[in-house]
Amino acid sequence: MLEAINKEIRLANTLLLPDYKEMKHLLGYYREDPDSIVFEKMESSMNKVLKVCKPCALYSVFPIKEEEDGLDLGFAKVVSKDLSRNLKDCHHVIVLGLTIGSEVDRLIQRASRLNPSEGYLLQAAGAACAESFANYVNDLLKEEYKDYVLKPRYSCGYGDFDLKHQSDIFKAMPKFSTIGLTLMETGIMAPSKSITALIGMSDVEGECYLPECDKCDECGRKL
Amino acid sequence: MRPDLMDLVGKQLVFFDGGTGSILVELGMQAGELPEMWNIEHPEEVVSLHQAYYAAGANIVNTNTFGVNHLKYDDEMLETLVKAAINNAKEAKRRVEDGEVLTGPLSKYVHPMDVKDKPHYIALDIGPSGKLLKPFGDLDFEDCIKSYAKMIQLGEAEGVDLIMIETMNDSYETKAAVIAAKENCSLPIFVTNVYDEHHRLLTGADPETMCTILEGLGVKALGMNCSLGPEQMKEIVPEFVENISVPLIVTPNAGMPRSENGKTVYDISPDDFAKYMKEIAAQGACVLGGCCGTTPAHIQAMIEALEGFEVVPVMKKNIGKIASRNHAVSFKEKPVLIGERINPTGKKKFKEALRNHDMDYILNEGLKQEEAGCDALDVNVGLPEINEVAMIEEVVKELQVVTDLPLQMDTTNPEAMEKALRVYNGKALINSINGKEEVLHSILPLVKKYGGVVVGLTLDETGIPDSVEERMKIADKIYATAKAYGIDAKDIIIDPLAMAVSADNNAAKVTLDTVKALKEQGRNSILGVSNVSFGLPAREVITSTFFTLAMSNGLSAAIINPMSVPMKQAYQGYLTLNGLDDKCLNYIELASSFVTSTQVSVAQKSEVKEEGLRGAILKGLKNNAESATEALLETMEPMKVINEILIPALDEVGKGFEAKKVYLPQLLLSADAASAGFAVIKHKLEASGSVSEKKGPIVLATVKGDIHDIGKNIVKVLLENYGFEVIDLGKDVPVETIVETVKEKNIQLVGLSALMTTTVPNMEETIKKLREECPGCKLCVGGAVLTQEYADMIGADFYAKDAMNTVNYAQQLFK
Repeated sequence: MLEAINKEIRLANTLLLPDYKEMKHLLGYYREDPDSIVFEKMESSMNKVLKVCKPCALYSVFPIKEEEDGLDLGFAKVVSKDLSRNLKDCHHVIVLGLTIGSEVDRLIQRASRLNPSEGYLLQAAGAACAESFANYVNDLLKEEYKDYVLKPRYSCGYGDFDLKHQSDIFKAMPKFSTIGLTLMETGIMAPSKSITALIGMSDVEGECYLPECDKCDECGRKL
Repeated sequence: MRPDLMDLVGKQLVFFDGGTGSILVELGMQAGELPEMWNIEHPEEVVSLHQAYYAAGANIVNTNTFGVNHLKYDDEMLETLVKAAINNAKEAKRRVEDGEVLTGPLSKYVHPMDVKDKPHYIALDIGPSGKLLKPFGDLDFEDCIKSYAKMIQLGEAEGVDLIMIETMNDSYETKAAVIAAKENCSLPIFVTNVYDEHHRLLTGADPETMCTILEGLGVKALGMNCSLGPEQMKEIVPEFVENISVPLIVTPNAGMPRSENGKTVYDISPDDFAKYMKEIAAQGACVLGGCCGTTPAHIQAMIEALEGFEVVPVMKKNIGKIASRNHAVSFKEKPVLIGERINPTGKKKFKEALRNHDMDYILNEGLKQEEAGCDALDVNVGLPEINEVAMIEEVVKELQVVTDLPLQMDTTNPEAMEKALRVYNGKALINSINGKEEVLHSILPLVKKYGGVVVGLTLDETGIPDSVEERMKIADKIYATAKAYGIDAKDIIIDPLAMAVSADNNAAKVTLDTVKALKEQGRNSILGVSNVSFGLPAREVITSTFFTLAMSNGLSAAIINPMSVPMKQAYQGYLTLNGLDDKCLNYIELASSFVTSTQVSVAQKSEVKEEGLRGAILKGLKNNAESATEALLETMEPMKVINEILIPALDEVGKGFEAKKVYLPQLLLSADAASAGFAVIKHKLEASGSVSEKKGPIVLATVKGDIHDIGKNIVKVLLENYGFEVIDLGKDVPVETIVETVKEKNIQLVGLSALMTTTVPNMEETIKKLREECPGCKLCVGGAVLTQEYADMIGADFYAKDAMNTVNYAQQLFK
């Protein structure tokens, strides 16, 4: 029996890796690279975010059951073909929430009031940092649960996994508030640079099904 | 007879219980179950949990109400849960005091010990609301206060002994909970916050800041809990001890959690816990307990290790302090500088900004002063024709988002003062009271309720006395009355009033002597310095000299214009000559800014010639755009610069963007550069008395429910660059506000933004209302979630796929 309730992971902001590749993508650059003037501004925004961010994560492990018409996550019944595929053969799921903190929002808000171009860069830097932290947490979980196969993390809004289940996740994880992670009435998370995800735990290496993932080349479980 | 809790706290060690959640998990609680529901579903287990902690020797147990509040539960359920939780704690207390022996699975944690006659108390446990306060989340400050009110009333009615507000990450939410407790019960309030390894809350406050804010609010004991183990907390304790004037609470986790055979275990054993807690007690903490992962065994080991330990007395600190959300400012040897620029008196532009509700202008005034080196900002937004209560609330809420500096609330309207102090995320300076009875008794209760350092002017019903002695008498009266309200002397700062020396030759001398007399009595003083030179030519000479003299006489704080070079010079000169500037480094830095401004502009000019304004805009170089515009204006008409260089350059970037050759960051940097150029031109036009023509106005708003405004702000910048006047209603804007503005100003074009699918219905509603009430107005929509299809469906006139698209539409419309 797996048991983990409200386990917390905190990372010193100084140890968070800046992910410029992700930031670049978020700013709309794919094939091309930003010029040196833009890159300098990207760096300065990234540094500002790294200085004030407070990466915190919290997770619990829930037993799950596959049912005829969907999934029973223990805290919610979910009808979603995509999630069912992602969690195929899983007996447990890690419910994870993470945030890099509201001070990043303050930084973005201050800039977007008085210097919108900086606000735009800061929010891309913030999103990239949240993603980078999520990857870090994912690696830790892989290490911690190395006896299991961990499925790619899957968030509400991916495929047909309805965004409305965000509130189920928050109800199941009332302690999210202890890391400062909250859900607003509109279904948007606050702080804004936050991620929730489900990570399936299985005993067998199944096939991957991630409709929105473009990292097949880097992943061993290519379709 | 059980002693009163507050007769014990600070005089002997008092012990809290330990972890709740981790024990309930052990008793069978599953992931996803709510601990508070166990109060009614498994009361016996909850009683045994409390009983185990009392049996371990704890004096205070926390009710199992961490997750209960009005946001999560309706009236009925809230009452059921709170009453059940308190009854469970009472039952545990009864069992222990009747000498009943603990049985069941938790008995393994404690060995028998005589605790029957120990004093036992029940704390109503209050945890975070689970919501983030506005503007970063959607919980209104007042709603947050309300969400705690009912359970606190219930707690007192059901007979708990204290309110324990714990595991708070955010100073603002902490303040809301404390206000709720103050307004709804008369019990002692204890508070613990969650600090990280950098000794700060998630929202930035350090122990000094929290001591300042919470002691101002009158909490009886405060400290830290959760997140860290005792080893890490030990590092933070000295920071508390240095600043705290009330008993310190320390309740750490049992170290860090890790997995062992699929179970979560914590790495600090009861014995290690006891060892660390003994050290923490020796450092000066006197209310001790445990948080996540600690068990009755940890609590018992700690209590036994501290048997007979004499508590380190709490030393009252006598330094007056104010605080913003993330740092405190002390009135010590270095005079505190308070920026005076957020004030409409004698400032035409500021008055205009207040009337037009131009929040950006006001915020900018604050930020410029922050950059100029102020320690705090005065906030005065009173104008006869505006609603000061609403305005000061809004300005304080907006300012505290953008600035790190503590604020000084400057108003004569007690209602506005209360509003400002209430919503302020910190401990403010309060400007002001004086010797008049009416003023004393209207403002001092607010100081007592919300905390603050209050400015006391030495005037009363008879006016401003001419002599030092008479002014000191008024100061005495202010101190005595404040004391009667329970306000500490350190929370008063006397303003002996700088009067115009042009009207009375002795005016400055009396003031300076009063500053000295206050200093001799160990009292703090503050002056609005610039009044002294009123009516004289070259005022800054007199003002800055007076400032130096006042500082030499012991002035603690000054309200000044931090942009004034002579004032900066006087201040830095004083610090350097008084040994307050290590190796004169700050003076040298300041001095370097005097000399080089002309040299820099020469260097820049030569660079500019090659670059040109067009090049500066294309590359997005703001400083170059500024200097290039200045250079061009020497030989070219302002309007010609706009029409022949600025706009075409912007168009060039805009077209590149539409052709996907230029990316949004570049477009925005170019817009910034163009804005800098426009600002130079506008300045020149204003100086020559002419006004640049504006198109529009256009109203922009992010719709109700949506707090994302980056996209909208980008559109605003571009529109302004193209000469449109923009009325920016901000984000989360109610439908009525938009309709009213459009009607009132006869607006031809409204731009609405929404980021989330969940807020598009509000956009639709706004459009519907606008169609009904303002039929002639065009509606343009945009935002991440919008598509042409959506836009058509909700009845917009135009779907703007990006910011340039909006500009093009507006240009077409206002041709």
